[in-house]
Amino acid sequence: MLSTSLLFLFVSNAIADFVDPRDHLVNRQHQALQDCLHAKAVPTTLNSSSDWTSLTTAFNLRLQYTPVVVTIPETPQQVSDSITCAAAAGIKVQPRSGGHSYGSYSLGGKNGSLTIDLQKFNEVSLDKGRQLTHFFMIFANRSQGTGIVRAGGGVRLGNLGLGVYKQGQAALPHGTYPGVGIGGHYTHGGFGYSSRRWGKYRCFANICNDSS
Amino acid sequence: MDVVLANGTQLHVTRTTHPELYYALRGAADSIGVVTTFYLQTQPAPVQIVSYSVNFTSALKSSSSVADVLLQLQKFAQSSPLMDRNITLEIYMNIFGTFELRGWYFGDRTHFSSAVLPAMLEGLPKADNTTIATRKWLDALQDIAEGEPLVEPLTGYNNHQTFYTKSIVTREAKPLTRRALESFAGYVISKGLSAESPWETYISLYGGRDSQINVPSPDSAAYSHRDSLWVFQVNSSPSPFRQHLSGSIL
Repeated sequence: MLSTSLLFLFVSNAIADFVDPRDHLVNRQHQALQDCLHAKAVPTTLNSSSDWTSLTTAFNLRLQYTPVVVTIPETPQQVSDSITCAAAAGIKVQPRSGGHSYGSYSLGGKNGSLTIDLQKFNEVSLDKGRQLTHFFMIFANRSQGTGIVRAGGGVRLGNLGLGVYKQGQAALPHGTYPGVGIGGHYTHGGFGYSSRRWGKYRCFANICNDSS
Repeated sequence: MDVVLANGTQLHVTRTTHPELYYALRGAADSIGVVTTFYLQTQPAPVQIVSYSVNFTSALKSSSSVADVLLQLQKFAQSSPLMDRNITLEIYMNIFGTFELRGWYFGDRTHFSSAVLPAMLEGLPKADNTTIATRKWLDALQDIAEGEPLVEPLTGYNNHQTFYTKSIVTREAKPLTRRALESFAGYVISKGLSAESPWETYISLYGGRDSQINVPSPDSAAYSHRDSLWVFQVNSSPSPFRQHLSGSIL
């Protein structure tokens, strides 16, 4: 144990004395990214901000990765600007919905990414426009129009399940833990207690129902 | 889906307008783009569901007793006429010796307790404890939420854990053998119950008769796992138990 610590001290001193020319490149990349995001007025959080720790702490504390910038876009255009600014600066992009990736991939899975935090995309809006009068609806609480819900990419499962129920006594298959976001859940085959009944990827609007 | 692609283009993707993106986003989105809005088909919520749990803790003494339980559940899932999409089935084990079967039934409670559950447990020794309860939809969602409220904050979310996790998916066409299950159970009994770090295992049924997960063809979406039977997840997380342990020592 002692020898390991000594070795570590030696190595870290050696690193401190060595100026990596890549640092200059990295700094230029970061500055270019910040300038671009600023020019396009994308809401941005840097490591000097008071909410930086809260926005960049991994769900799984065993795997903490730190981004260079977190954007908190409010419109799809600002998502687009986040991506194009990062691409121009040569920095990888990672969207973060609920941030529950077990491997912390929602923070990029390594240091130095631009994280697009989707928390402002929190709409849960159930279409109740067309009333169904199907005979079997007697088994449900009530009818629910087309039953298609618009759900923002940053919505967490608890708010989704609660939202569609309160708006129209509706439900859909999703996982159990309410803090998980739909961004990763519905794009990677998330499973829950109603998945055997209602399926996976059978209920994106255009599969179950060709109306939209 | 409303999507922003890697070149910044914003699109409304449907099966008919962008079939290739529609295929790729459902299973492999992070290689493709950022989904800003999902359009999801909901179903009428059930008024209520049946929630059940069957405790087999005393079977967690010998690997053959554990294998008996798991083989019977596998046989029921794959071949019983009473098995259908309305049954959710999960086996839970942990370091404290808990071994239980639990899940939901979307249907009539009397039918479940008089026909479905007896068929599920056919030939097994009597369980330590069985509970069957009718739960309203939101109560049922709350029951399985691991103690979290369903209402989550829109900003400042601050839940964290420290854990290591692994998972294994088994195939519908290759049901688990007695040999494999006894090996798994033997490891749990001989090593798991005295492990240094607390752990828990969920064995979730994805497949079995009438599972709607496995209905679409494997090439209908980038998510292609349409032949899964069981999903084993093992989690080990020291932090929630630390306080408890140091408390007992003091």
